[in-house]
Amino acid sequence: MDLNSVLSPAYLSSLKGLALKARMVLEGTMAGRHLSPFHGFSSEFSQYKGYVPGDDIKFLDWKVYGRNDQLVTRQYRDETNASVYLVLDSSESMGYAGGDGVTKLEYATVLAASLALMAFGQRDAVSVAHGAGEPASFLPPRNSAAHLRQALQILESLKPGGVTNLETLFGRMAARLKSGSMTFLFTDLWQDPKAILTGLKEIRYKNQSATLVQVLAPGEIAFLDGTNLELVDMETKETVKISARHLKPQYLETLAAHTESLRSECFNLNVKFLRVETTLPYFQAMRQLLQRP
Amino acid sequence: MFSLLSPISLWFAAALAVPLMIHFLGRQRLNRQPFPSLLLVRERFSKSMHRHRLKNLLLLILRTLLILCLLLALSNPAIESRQAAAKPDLSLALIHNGIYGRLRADAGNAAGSETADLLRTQWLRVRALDSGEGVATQVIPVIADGPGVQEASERFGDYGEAVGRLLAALGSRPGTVQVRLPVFAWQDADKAKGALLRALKENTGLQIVLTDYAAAAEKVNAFAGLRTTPSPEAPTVTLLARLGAAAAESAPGKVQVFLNGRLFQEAAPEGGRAEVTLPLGEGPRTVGRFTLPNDGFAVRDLHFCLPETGGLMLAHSGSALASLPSLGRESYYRRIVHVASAKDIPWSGLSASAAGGTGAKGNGNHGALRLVYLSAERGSQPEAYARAVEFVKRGGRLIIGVGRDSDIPLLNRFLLQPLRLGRLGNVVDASSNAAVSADRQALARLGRLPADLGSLGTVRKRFAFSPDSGAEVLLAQGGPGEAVLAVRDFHRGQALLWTTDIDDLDWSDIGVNPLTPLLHQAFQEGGSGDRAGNLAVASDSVYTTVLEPAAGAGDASFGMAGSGSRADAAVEVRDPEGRPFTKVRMDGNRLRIGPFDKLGIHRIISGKDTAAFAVNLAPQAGIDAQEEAKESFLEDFKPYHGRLMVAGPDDPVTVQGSVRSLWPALFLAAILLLLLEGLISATFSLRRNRP
Repeated sequence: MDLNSVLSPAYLSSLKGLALKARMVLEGTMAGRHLSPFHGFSSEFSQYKGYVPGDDIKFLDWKVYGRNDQLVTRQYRDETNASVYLVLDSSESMGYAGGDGVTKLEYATVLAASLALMAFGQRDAVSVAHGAGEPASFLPPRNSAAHLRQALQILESLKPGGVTNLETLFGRMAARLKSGSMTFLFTDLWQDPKAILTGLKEIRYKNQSATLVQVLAPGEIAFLDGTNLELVDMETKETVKISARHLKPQYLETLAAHTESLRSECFNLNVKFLRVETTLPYFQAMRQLLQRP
Repeated sequence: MFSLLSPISLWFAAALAVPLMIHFLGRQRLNRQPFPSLLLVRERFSKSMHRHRLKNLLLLILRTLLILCLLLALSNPAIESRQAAAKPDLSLALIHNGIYGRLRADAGNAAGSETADLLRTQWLRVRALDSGEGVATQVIPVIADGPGVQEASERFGDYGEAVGRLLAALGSRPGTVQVRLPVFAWQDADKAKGALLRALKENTGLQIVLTDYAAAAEKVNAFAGLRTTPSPEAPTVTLLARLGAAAAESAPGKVQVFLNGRLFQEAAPEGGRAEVTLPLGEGPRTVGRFTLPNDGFAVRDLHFCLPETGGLMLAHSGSALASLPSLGRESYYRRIVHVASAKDIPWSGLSASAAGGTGAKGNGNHGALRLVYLSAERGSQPEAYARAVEFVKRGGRLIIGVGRDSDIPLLNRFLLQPLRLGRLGNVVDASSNAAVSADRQALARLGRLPADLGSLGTVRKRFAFSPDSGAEVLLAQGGPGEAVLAVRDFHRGQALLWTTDIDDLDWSDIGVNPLTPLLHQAFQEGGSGDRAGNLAVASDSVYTTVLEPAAGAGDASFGMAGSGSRADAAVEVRDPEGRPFTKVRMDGNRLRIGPFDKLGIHRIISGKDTAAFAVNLAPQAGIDAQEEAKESFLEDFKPYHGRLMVAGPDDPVTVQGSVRSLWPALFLAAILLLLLEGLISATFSLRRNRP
């Protein structure tokens, strides 16, 4: 996919108003736009704290001591940078376009690239990983122009393949996540919700800010038309003969239940869940992605 | 038993394949589409598809049944029940004007009287007899035959054709149909066998009742005889009728004699016999009808012709009594000349008596074929014509008839020109100048004819004719060049040519004119050296024949009282086909003839000439043959036992079983299936939309 054509100046300028804010306080090592749980030496006052021996006496507030005869130290909220992990499910099913539009993987790539650009702009480190089960490639988080180029090249060359195994993908990625990171997971979630949640819990265990983006094509949301169809599973090549017209209501019902189940579990795990359709303009998808809940 | 009355509709059974084809072709025509994952599809698939398949299967079955019902309904299905119905849905009867006779009118039965009236007025009519019983009536147009009914578009040939016409008109229809057919002779019924079998096979509701009048012949057995008293001074002919005992008791009608259309004399039978004597040789009376009493006879009327030559001719054929208007038809001549297809004429039987000039005289009843009438026919072979020419050469007398079927070029080349008679040309429509004139001198040379010929009739169509120099024109229309009848002496024989069809009233009415039989009679007589009458006894002895009641039915006894030396004269009896009849017994002066085994006129020939006629109207001996023919006939109808019944004329006939049509029920079933289909579709649709 040619990202240059998609990430046009007009599109990128439309993203200027959006800031990639960590939904949770990140434990970064570099000063950045994200709040750090550590109280540092930034200028933003946070609170007073009773002096205990060992505290740096330079933070003693002498004015308070003068008024109240109490030794207190001033504490300031520190700001930090973040690592943004962009994890894409590149299984065979992500290659489904459902018509003349882009494939789900292409759509997810554009969103990931947009996030990477935004993160780089705020001096956040960007990491890119993809795979159907075992990660096919993993680019550690860095914050450099060369690293960004490499990340974009990886995204640009993504090809769908393999059978979805999100439990493995999420589990392996969880092991590589650094603390104080933001994780964006792009997938179609075509797997048993229990397996998905197992992997998701491992990511969440690292106390990361995670966003689960379900990318679906129109054909998956509205299902197909026609009487006699022979559906071929893109991953397993399994076939089934159906009457789409008669099966559609049941399918939509099941899809709604599937999505709702995942949404509910994500809410419990404090993971942002977002479902986007590949026909949705990228700008709107990014707004939904970045807006705070 | 279930059967289809119109199985031809089953040709449309291919329509049954339509829903099947749609069903199976629909299953085959799958659109293959990739889909990201069957995770959710698989989950709901089995339940949904099972319902879908169930629905499709149900709809397929219903639609197939629907088409099947409609097809079966169109095929007119019927179910037969052994339980007798009160009456048939339709009852038809064939009333035949009597190839051999007529239906007997049952005493006190209005329908029977009506039947008798119909017989008197109609030639052939098919109608329902029992319309008064509230049964549907189907009237089939009259199919008539014979002169006087030129307007009739159809003619029937024989009994078999009449029955076939009736059954064809009946067609295939649902319900119980009873057809009653009279059988006068089982040999005739045999001609209708094919049509009957076909109708019984195609129409399961058809019941045929054969009313066996042949078996009832005993009841109507009668005898009529005619004898002549050819005294030169006062020639007479005596007509005698002897009724069977049963007939005489049941219906003592009157014997009537009509001459020239008017009642001449009538006599009441006494003791079962009636006698009417007619004088001969007085005036131009020529044709008459001898009417037997209404009841008791298989044959009612005898038609005769009394030429002034002193003879007597009977209108009778081997198969039918000719009625008055059809005297001119071929059947008339069949008794006085040999009528047959040219190729069927036994030319080889031309006896040496004729050919060898052994002095054969008179009427040719002594075995020699002397006179041949070649009627208009198609398909004659040149060889037959060559034999006819040879026949004339040897002294035979040939009457040549022409008509619309004649092959004129063949006739000219192989018959007329070899006979040096002339040449026939195209058909001339002579309707504007139809009067016929006669060359009396030429006619006188032909034979004895009345002085006053009366009207000679009219000719509407004829063939142009160019006579050869030796040919004489006897009858002409307009000028002498427009010949109607020409004669030519050829070697030892003579040939007579009609240029018009005397048997077709569209061409001429000469055939029904008294002149024609007289001409033919004269022609025949002219061949004999002494010009003796064909039927007159050329003897000066005077004798009377007395018809005595016979012990058995169907025979006749002649007493030759006063015959003296003539008593032991050679008496020969010929059957209607001209063959010797051997059941003749001399008992003193009585001559007992019979019993007869053939219908028709038997000639009692004394010496060289016919002394009397014995007309057998109801053959006793024929009954055995009838029984044999009946058994043979019914053998083929064994599979249809119960649907083809034989009843006597007076037997009550009930409806054997009934047939009920099922098409209304099938149409109802089709409508119900249609509703059921809608119901199933709606049910599945509701279940699908249920949240």
